[in-house]
Order: sequence, then C-alpha cells, then structure tokens
Amino acid sequence: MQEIDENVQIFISEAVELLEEIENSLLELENASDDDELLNLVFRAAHTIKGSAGLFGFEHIIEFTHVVENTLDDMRNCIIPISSELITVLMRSKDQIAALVEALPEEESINTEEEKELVDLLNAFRSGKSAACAAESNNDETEAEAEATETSGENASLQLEEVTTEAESSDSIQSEHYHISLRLGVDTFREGFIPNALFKQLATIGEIKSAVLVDENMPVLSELDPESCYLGWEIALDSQASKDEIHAIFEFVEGAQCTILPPSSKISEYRHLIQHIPEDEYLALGQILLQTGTLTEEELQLVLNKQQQTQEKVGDLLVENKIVQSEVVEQALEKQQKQKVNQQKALSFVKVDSAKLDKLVNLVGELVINGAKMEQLSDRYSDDVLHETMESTISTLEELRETALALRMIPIGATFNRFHRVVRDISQELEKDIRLEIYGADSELDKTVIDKISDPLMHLVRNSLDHGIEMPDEREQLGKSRQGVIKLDAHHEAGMIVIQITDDGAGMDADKLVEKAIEKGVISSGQKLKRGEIFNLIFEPGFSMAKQISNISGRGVGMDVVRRNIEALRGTILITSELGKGTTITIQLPLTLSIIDGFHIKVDQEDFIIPLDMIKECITLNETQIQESSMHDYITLRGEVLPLIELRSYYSLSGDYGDDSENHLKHRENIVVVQFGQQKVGLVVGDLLGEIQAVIKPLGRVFKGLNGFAGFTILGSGHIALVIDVPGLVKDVVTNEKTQFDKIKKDQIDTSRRLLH
Amino acid sequence: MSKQQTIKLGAECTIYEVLEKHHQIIEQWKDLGQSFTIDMSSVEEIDNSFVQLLLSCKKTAITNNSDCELINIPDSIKEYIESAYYSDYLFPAVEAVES
Repeated sequence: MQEIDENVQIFISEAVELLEEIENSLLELENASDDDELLNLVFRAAHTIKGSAGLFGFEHIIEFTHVVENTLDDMRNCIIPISSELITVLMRSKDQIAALVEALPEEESINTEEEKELVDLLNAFRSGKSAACAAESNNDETEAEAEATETSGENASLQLEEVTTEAESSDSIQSEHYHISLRLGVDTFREGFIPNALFKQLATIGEIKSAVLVDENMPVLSELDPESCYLGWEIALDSQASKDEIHAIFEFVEGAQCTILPPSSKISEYRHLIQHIPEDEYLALGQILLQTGTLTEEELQLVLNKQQQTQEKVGDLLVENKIVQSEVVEQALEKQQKQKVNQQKALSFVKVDSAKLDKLVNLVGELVINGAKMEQLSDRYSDDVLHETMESTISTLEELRETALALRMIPIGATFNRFHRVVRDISQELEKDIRLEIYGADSELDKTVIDKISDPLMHLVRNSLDHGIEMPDEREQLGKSRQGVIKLDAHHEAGMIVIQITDDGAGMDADKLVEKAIEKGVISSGQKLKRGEIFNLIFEPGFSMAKQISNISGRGVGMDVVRRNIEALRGTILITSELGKGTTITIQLPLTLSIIDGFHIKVDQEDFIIPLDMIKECITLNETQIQESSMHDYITLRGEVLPLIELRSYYSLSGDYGDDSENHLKHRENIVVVQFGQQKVGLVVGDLLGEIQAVIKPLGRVFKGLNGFAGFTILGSGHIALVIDVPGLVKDVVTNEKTQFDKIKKDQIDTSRRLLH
Repeated sequence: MSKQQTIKLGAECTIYEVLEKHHQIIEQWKDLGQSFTIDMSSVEEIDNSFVQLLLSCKKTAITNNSDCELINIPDSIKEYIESAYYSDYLFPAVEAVES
C-alpha cells in the first residue's frame, strides 16, 4: 500500500469528521427541514471537503462534491424543497465521497455506476428546481406566490422569504426605499466633481423618489468659501439593486460621506445572508455586516471614528445613525456570539494522533511501575525527607496516570449517532416506523473500548430493528403506537460503563427459546434454566430464533461473536425481555483497558493480579469451610454454593506441600470471591497482598492460546505478575459444572438401566 | 423706498468665476435686510459651486428675513438646477419671479 503523506492523512481525517457531520445533520434535517443552520452546516462541510481536496488536486472528489454542493446550495436558496427522497440521495452521495476519500491517496474510480446514478439524480433534482419552487410557493399561499412564479431562481426565493419576514415583523417596517444620506467632501468642487452625475447614475439603477438638499452646513455669504463644498442630500431611492451596487456609485467621490439604509424589505435578506456566514471564524460586528453587504467600508469607518469619540458600541451607533436596521444588527450579534462559542471550542481542543496518546499512556505506565519500585527501595532507608518526597512523587504519578488515561476518554455519543442512519435506512427497508432515542451520549470511555464496541452494538441494534420491533400494523393491533422506539443509553456505574439497548418490540418468548435450544442441542431436555439464562441462550453459537433469514440479521452468526467481543473487553452482556413488551440488552464494560486497579495475590511463590472490579469479597475460611473445601470443589457461603478454583492446581504450579496437610490447609484458607455476569466463583489463593495499580501488557505471541491470563504486569519489585482472566476462569467453571452434571446424569441413567435389567 | 439691489451674472458661472462673483455679491448686497435679485439671463454655463453660491445667497436672505430672487433663468440652467434636486430650495424664488 502506498504510504500516505502526512498532509493527506490530515485531509482524510478531517474529511471523515466532516462526512460524519454531514450525515448527522442530514438526518436531523429530514425532521427539521426549516432549520437553515443545519443546511448551512451540511453545505459548509461539503464546501470544505471540496476546497481541501482542491489543495491536493483530488479532481475526482472535487468534481463529485461540486455536484453535491450545487444541490445543497439550491436547497439553501429554497430552489429545491427538502424531501425524504432528496435526503436519501444526499446520504448516498455522502457515502460515495467517503468511499473516494477512503481510497486515497489513489484517485481510483470507486463505485462508478453508483456515482453516475447519483450525479444524474442530483441533477434531476436541480433541473426540476423551478417547478419545485413554484410548487412550494403554491403551498405557502402567500402574497409572494405570483412574484415567485414570475421571477426565477434566487430572486424568487428571496422575495418569498422577505414577504414572510415582513409579515412577521410588520412593526419594524421603516421605509420601502433605500435611504441615502450623502454629504459631499469639502474639496468636491476643486476636484472637478459634478454631483449631478450621481443623480444621473442613481436613476439608472432605480427611481429617485425624493432628494432633499441639506443646508445645515451651508454658511451665509459672509462666511462662505465659495470654492469649498457644503452640499448634502437625503435621497429616497426605489431600487432592486444591492447596497454594494448603490455604494459603488458614490465610491469615487473623494471625501464624501455616504450612508445607505436599505429598505425594510431588505432586512430579511440581510438576516438571511448573516445566517449563512460560517461560524468557524470569529468576526467583528462590522466585518459581519461588511461581508453581507449590509454595511459599506465607508459607513464602518464613519462609525468607528464616531466610536472613538463617544465610546459607544458599534451596533448602537449603526442603529442611531440609521446605517443598519436594529433587526439586522441583532442578527449579526447573534451570529457573532455563535462564532465566539465555536472559536472557544476550537481553541480548547487539540487534535492528537491516537498512536501518540497510546505511547504516552504506555510511558506513564512504565513510570507508575518505576514509581512503585522506587517506593519499595526507599523503604530500605529510614530517611524522612526521602519518604516524604517519595510519597509526593507517588501521589503525582497517580494524578498523572489519571490524566493520561482521561486523554484517551472520548464521549460515546459519536458512536451512538452513527445509528441514526442505520435506524433510518433499515426501517425504510423493512417498511417499519422506528425512532431512535439516545441518552447519555456524553458518557466517556477509552477510545480503544469505543472502537471495539462499535461492531457489537451495530449487530444488536440491527437485531432489534429486524426482530424486535413489529410491523406498524401489527403494533397497532396490539394497542401499541405505530412507531417503535429503540433506546440507546450509556451511563457510568461503579467504575464501569453500562450501555443499554432497549426496544419496545415483541420481546422474546422464553418457552420457545428453550424449545429451540433443546432442538439445536444447546441444552439437554431436562435442564432447568433461570429466566436470565434462557435469554442468554441466544448468545450460543448457531442459535437463531429468526423464522426467515434476512440480509439484516438472523443467520445465527454474530450473537456469539458479540458476546465474545464484549468479554474480550472484560465486559459482560445480559438480556432481559418481556413477551409483547420488548427487550433490554445491558452491556457492562470497563472504562479503560490499559491500566487497572488490581488486587495483588500470591500463590506459592508466584504473583498474580486479579482485576479489582471483578472482586466481590475476600474471605478467610472457617474450620467447617476448610473441611468442606478439602472434600469438594465448592463451599457453602451464606447458604449459596460457591464453586472453587484452586489456582495452584489450575495453573499447575510446582509448589509442593508434601504430605503436610496442615500446611496445605493453611494455604487454602484465603478465598477471593470474583463475579462475572451472574456467576460467582471462589479463587483459592495464598497470600493477599493488597490493592495495586497495574499496567496491563499483552502476553507475547508465544503465549497465544494460553487460557486463564489477560496479560501481565511488572511489579514494583521488578517481578512479573500475571493478570488473571476472571471471565475465562468463570466460563471454565460453568463448563465443568455442565460436564459434571451430564456425567452425573449419565451415571444415573446407567444405574437405572442396570436396575431394570 | 430703498434702492433695488441687483446683480447680473455673466455667461460663465463656474468655479473659476465663483470667488470673484462672491465678492461682487457681498459688495452689491449691502443691506441684507432688503431683498436681492440675481439676473441670470446671460448665464450660459453654470456648475455646482456657482449653484452653491446661489444657495448661500438664499440662506443669507432667510437668515436676514429678506428675500433673494433669481430671475430670467434660461431653461438649460433651470434643467441643470433641477437635475441635482436644488429646485425645492431655489425654485420658489424662481416661481416668484415668473409669476
């Protein structure tokens, strides 16, 4: 594969983010078609991708994005109405841009058929724009109707909006004409300028309704310098020209002061233009008004000069001096505020390559280990200052560890948001009406965990869409709303993140699940399962309840993979379901994978770490329990049977107690009770050495396939401690129990047979 | 009855003449309380500096509660005055003369 230039890599990463933004905004836009800001967001994102692609000469991306951008622009100008069909085409276009970006740095032709079809579809929307707009204006039934059909393109759309806004703010109407205040410069005559020419030119772009000479500065004869100019006019101009066009007429009159107050009908146009200004850069109020043509540079200079004298705010001066209407100033101030917020946001984030973060976290991990080593070494010396310094170093290291880990924590919202598109597309495909609700999108967890949880979540959501939610008619018959709901919820709970996928669909039939499980040989016919265990049967390999295999889900492959992936993250997955009411899948995951709070134990001379979040309690056996444990592989703890795993034998450690049973028992007296899912297991260990922060390092390839270990860590003493894979151990216990159960049952059957014969 | 204060302008009434005419008018219009008449019958060319002088005459008259009349304005000159919207200020005087 060709190596990607660093700048191209930045382009790709930014494009991916922008495309995500496009998708989310399009989805929102479908339900809020009057939200100009959303449409602007999509347009700007597409425009940025096209612009950035231009820097690298990615012609293919430029060409295709250009077509998309044109369509979006027509939508912004109300030439193409927003419809579900158009959103679908735009979504597909977004996918196509994503495919083109993904193929970089090669400018390959990707999905050329799809691209051609999309270009045709987008152009079809665009070519039908007049009819579409006319249709829209008919629906509006406003006074603008006639005007909209008479005029074309942007003007039509502009008038539509102006009429609406005028109606909304009829109180604010000041004048139907441009009001031009002109004061000629003192040297106008000396420079040979003829003011009459101005009126002649104004007459070419509109009708001068009135022009009143202003004599306020005109001196009487005795004070007059006849070669100096004191003239000024207040002019009312009826014109369709823009403020800039009008201003251009006065541009070359040296020393003149000219302010142009647009007609009230222009207010909505200016507000519209202000809304379209990007929010990624902070602009001064004057700059915003300049950019939209609401204000001319001379007007701004005039106001800024006045501001120096009066210290008044620019906005107030603009309104007071009748240069800009107050509504327009308010809109510009609102935009300025948004830009300010965005700029602050932009300033408070720095993009860092996640590989660099990984390296940092690893280095911090090494530092934590070295800190622990140093602490142990310092214990050899009775130096108070050394101990104090060590204590402070350890405390800082702990803080550093927390901070380094927090750097990798990202909100789960971005992952959740991807499901809006999935829900939309699949529900359309299945002809179902399904709404996705998201809660706790701000909940943060390690990027590695987020990356790995994305696929299992996708599978679960697709399952809910396909099998969970019923068809609208069926729901109606059941007295439910036609629209089904899938909820994604994330929240922190005791140092873990809990993700729940809930649907209000058909739920699961426990009896049918058992029936199916027996039929597939997943369980034996006499096996009694708890309700929770029944639902968890769907995670067994090859188990599927779907009557029909669809291309969305239902092949029975996947759910077992889902569970395996979640367990690989040291997580758990549980299902609760109520027939006819719906299903809830709860996933519990650790917030991070790299550094854990562990519990240090010793078995024989070997060190082990048990993840602290999986430990329920540590117990010291009483005499009865010691006797019981020596006879069976379980004890009775508070009335419940607790299976035991003796780590010494489980890991085949060489420790030999000989025939000294007293010594043996002494080493069996500590039990660490761990829990994974609903299953509790007692680990029979040697010494309990206390809590420790452990930097988990993966075991090398040599140890691939070795069960029972999640990795290793280096202790402060320099010794290596293996991190116990609690889920693996618990699963082993469950499997052994089943084998034992089967063996007992087989023995019972054999005995019965022998007795019968 | 006081003597009628009048001045007759020449053919060229542009910035090149305006300084001189300004002095002449001040000299001629000694009694500002009395009305002043400007005969424009010979004017062939005028510019804005000159129109401004006429406007100043008008303002001076108003300030002194008197009157300044422009008489015999050629059509071309009238057109020029109208084209820069000076008429409201100057034409009442013109109309007075015409009537």
